[in-house]
Parts: sequence; structure tokens; C-alpha cells
Amino acid sequence: MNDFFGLIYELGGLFYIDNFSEDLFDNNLYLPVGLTLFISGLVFMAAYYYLVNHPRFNRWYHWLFYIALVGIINFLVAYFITKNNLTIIYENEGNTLPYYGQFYTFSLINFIYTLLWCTVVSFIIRWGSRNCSTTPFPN
Amino acid sequence: MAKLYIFAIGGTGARVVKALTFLLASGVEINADEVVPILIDPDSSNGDLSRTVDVMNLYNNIREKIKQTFTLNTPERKVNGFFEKPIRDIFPGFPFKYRLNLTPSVGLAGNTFGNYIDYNTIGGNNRKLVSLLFSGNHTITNNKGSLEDQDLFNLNTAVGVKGNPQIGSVILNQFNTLSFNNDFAASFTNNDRIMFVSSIFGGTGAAGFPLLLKYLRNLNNPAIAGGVPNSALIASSKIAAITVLPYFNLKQGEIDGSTFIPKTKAALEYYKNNVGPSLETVYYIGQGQGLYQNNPGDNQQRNDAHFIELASALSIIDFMSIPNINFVLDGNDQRTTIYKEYGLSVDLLDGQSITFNELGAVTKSLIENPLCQYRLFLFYLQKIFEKIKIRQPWCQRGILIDEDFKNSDFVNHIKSFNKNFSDWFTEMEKNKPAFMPFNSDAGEENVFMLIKSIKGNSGYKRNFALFDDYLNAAERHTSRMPQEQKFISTFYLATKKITDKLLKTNKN
Repeated sequence: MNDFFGLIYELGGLFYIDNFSEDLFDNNLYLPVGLTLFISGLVFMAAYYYLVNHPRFNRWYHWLFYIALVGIINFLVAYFITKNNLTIIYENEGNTLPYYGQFYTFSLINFIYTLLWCTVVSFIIRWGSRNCSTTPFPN
Repeated sequence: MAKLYIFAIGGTGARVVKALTFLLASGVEINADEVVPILIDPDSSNGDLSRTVDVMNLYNNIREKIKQTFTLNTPERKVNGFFEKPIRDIFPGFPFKYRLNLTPSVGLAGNTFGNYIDYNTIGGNNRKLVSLLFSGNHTITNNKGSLEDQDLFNLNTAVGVKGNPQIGSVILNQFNTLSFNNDFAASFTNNDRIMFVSSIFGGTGAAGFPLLLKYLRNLNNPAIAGGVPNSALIASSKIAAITVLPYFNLKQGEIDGSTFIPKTKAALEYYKNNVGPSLETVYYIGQGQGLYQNNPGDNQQRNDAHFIELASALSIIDFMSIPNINFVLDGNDQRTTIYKEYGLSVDLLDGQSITFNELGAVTKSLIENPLCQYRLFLFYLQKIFEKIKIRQPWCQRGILIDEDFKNSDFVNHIKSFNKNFSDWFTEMEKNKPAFMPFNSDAGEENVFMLIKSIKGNSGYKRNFALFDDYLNAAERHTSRMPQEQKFISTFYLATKKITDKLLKTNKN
């Protein structure tokens, strides 16, 4: 699974960040971040379409606001999982953590992936929603 | 099931048919395949008559576009009940839509009663006899605006008979010569029924009803039937009448309202022996009298709608619900006439208005849900649909309900029909006793308070959001229908769910 998420997050080298990506891969950190994204996208979008499911919260901007919230959650998840784990690992080895901006870059990638995943999930599951089946836009 | 022919005579007859049209539009059930109104009034520009014809035209314009939905209805589940029953016009030629074309000499401006009977050419003793029979005056408003008595022979029949049944009995005595024998009789089939609707205290209805009834019952006489098609069927058909007793009086004017009660007493005595035995069912209806403007006829006769007319329309539905087996003939082929009256479930206090809770159980179960459904449909259209762009799934899925549709003739017809429906309720609310089952001050913040018997709704989805929720759910069953059908059916299914749920919740 870590390999799979590694492939996705590095996207054939496009989003590869020197050393930082290798550290994430070697320490299996793609897995919790990727799984959180995958599961939270499903759960939050299912909640939007089948629990929230409100006629006054079904316009495209409501939806965009909602997935942005899910994206922010995943941004924070990515940031704290990677930073906390790598901090512990580097401290255990007696080294100073050599990354700073990389955490933000990776979290931003995770944020964008969250938006994309939520969009995909939306179009897959929305058909059965009573009030949001044409959200974010009709076919 | 079969057809129901309604002979609606005079202004009261027209207003009762209008009430029936609104009930049918709401989806109130009637045990008939078709309703065939035949409006009879020598005053062809009568305001009440015109309004009724307009409403029925709109009804049929709307129904024509959605009639396919009714083929999907099953006994277990209705896809659409709004505008379900066809209201057929057997006189489709302008200007006599739904109206019996009385002979040209009647109803034309300048024609007096004297001219109609050629009074000036009658000589000798016959003239004296006619003078004796029709002696009397009628009142007109002269050029100075004051009231003035005139001889009855100078009564202008173009604006009706002004409450003079003796005149009505003459000018309406022409059914055997009318084209209606072809239009009405030819379409009559076995099991079709006939209903008369008229008032007993005016001129046109009080005179026309016994005349026409007598003519129809005598059609089994070959000498009278002549070449009338289906004459035996018509003569032996099931016929009922709603006789509307005085329910309003008139301010001083051209029609003398003080004669309403004496005329009613005389007519009731006549009906008892000469009319009742010819009918399967007789409905009597009436109540204390409010005061109306004295509008003698023409387009001025636009009396406000009254609960009595709604109750009268219910008698039509009641008649169609009675099985044939209940109509008994004795050994001499004489009918055992069923007499019925209408009553509320409670005695109204002075000034108390009627809501659904004051209606009898049968009436309430018949009309409460359909009227609430249609009122909710109308309310949504008024408050939301006409004002803003609707972005709900019920508009955007499948066949689109878009801005072009909102400006279509179909929607304009619905708006016009609904305007009449609103006016009808507003008039009944202003009358005495007021029929006020709906709150006129309900708004977007308390949508379901519209129905007085509902205390409102609380919860996650409220007001028009809840309404949209039901519309979005209903649209799942209608998304493949053409626009007009989808539109009406979606509202029917949604309002059905809403009323079923909220009215049931309220009872628990």
C-alpha cells in the first residue's frame, strides 16, 4: 500500500522532493496520509450527499466550501503525520530535522489530491442523493 | 364508470360548476369518466358564467398537456391527481363554449320579453290572457341613475330574467327545438347520469330546471322524443338535482331580493309534488343570508364565491358515489326519491369561520388532502417558482424545468388558473360564513402554517427547504416525463407526501 501511495504522491517524479520523498517512503509515511485521504474523502463525501443532503446546501459553492474543509483537514493530517514522525526519527538518530518548507509542499499536494479525490467520489456516489444529486453541477 | 352531465342553470349553476372545477383540479375524486357541464343562461355575458367558462378553458388547456400522466395511475398509486377528470365541452363552437345555444332571439341586446313572445301581434282574448299571466313590473336603472318601474313586457332578456321565473319559464321552454338534442342526446350512453344545479329563488334556475327535467323525462314519449337520439336512455337515466335555497340577499336595486323567500316557498311546494318524484336524488342546501350587491345581469353579475357553492359541488360528487342499486323503483315504476341536506359537524358560533375541522367526516376526508395539496402547489409557485431561478435537482435532472419553461404558455395557463383559484378562496373567506381553512398570513418563514390544522414543522429541513426535499424525492418517479407532465406530477407526488405526513402528524 505504501508503494501504491508513493507512486501517487510522487507521480512519476513530478512531485518528487529530494530526500524528503525518500524519507516518507522509507518510513512508510505515505500509507497513513494516503489512507486518511482515501477514507476521509469517502466518509465526508458520503456524509455530504446522504447525511447533510440539504436542499439549501446543494449549490456548487456549498460543495466547494465543503471539500475545501476536507482538504484543509487532510492538509493538517499530512503536515502533522509527516512532521511528527520525521522529527522523532531524526531525533532518535541524533540528527536535526533538515526539512521545513517540504512539509508545506507535501501538505499542499495532499490538499490538492483531496480535492481531486472528493470530486471523483462526488460523481460516483451522488446519484442516490435526494437533494445533492446535481451537485456540484448537473450532467 | 360513465359520464356525468351537469345542467347548470343561471348564475348559481355557473358558480357551482366553477367550484366543482377547482375541486377536480385539486384531485378530489369523482366516480365518473367525464364531466360534461352544460351551462344554461339567457344572459350570455353574465359575469359568473364568463368566469366559469374561463376557468374550465384553462383547466382543459392545462389538462391537454398532462393527460398522459393519468394513464400511469393505478388503484394502488397515483402518479398525478391534479386536473385528472376530463371536463368535456359538447358545444365547442365560439361563442357558446360549454353553453347551451339558446335561440338567437334570446340574449341579444334590445330584445324584450314582449318581442320574444310577439306580444304586439297577439290579438283579442289571447292578448288579455297573456297580459293577465305576465302582469307586473320590473325595475330598471334609468339614465339619471335612479330606479324606475317598467312593464314586464319591456324586460330586456339580453341580461337574463332578473329574478322573474315566470319569464324564465317562457324563454327557456325551447329545449326541444335546440341543437342540444344532437350535441347532448347523441353522446348519451347507458349508465350516464344527469345532475341539475340551480337556485330556487332567482329567475333562470327556478324556471329552467323543472322545464328541462320534464322535457328529459318525457323523452320516452315518441310524440315528444321525435328524432332525438337515445331518447329512451335519457328518459330512464339516473337524474338528481341540487336546489340551492336562498343564501344571500340583495341590496336595493333592479332585482327585488325581498321576493326570494316567498318565491322559494312557492317553488318548494311545486317541487314537492311535481319535481321530486321525477328525480333519483334531491339535494337541498341553504343557509342564513349575507347581503350582495344588486347586479341585475350582464358582466356585472359577478357574485363572490360562497361556501354554499362548494357544498353544492360536493353534492354532485355525492350523487356519483351512490350505486345504482340504491335507486329503487316501486311496483308502479315510481321512484323512491332520496332527499339529502348538507350540514357541518358543529353549530357555528356567530362570526365563526369554517375550517376543515368544522366539516363532516365524509366531506373532510374527501376534500382536505386534495385542497391542501393544491394550495401548497399554488403557494410554492407564487412564492418561489415565479420569483427566483430554481436550482434544485427536481428541475435539473432528466428533463429540464428551465427558464424557458417558466415563461411557456403552459405555465402561464397555470398561473391564470391559480389566480382564479386564489380569488375563489379569497371570496369565500370574505363571505359569511367564511370558509377559511388556510392562513392568509403564511409566508416563507412558516410555509406549512398555511394549513390551519397544521401547527408548522420543526426539524432539520423546514419550510420551502422541506418542500424542495419532497419535490426532489418525487422527481425520481417523473424524471423521464415530458416537461409539463413532469412538472405537475412532481408537485402532485410531493404535496401528497407532505399532506399525508403533516396532516397525520397533526392528528397524532
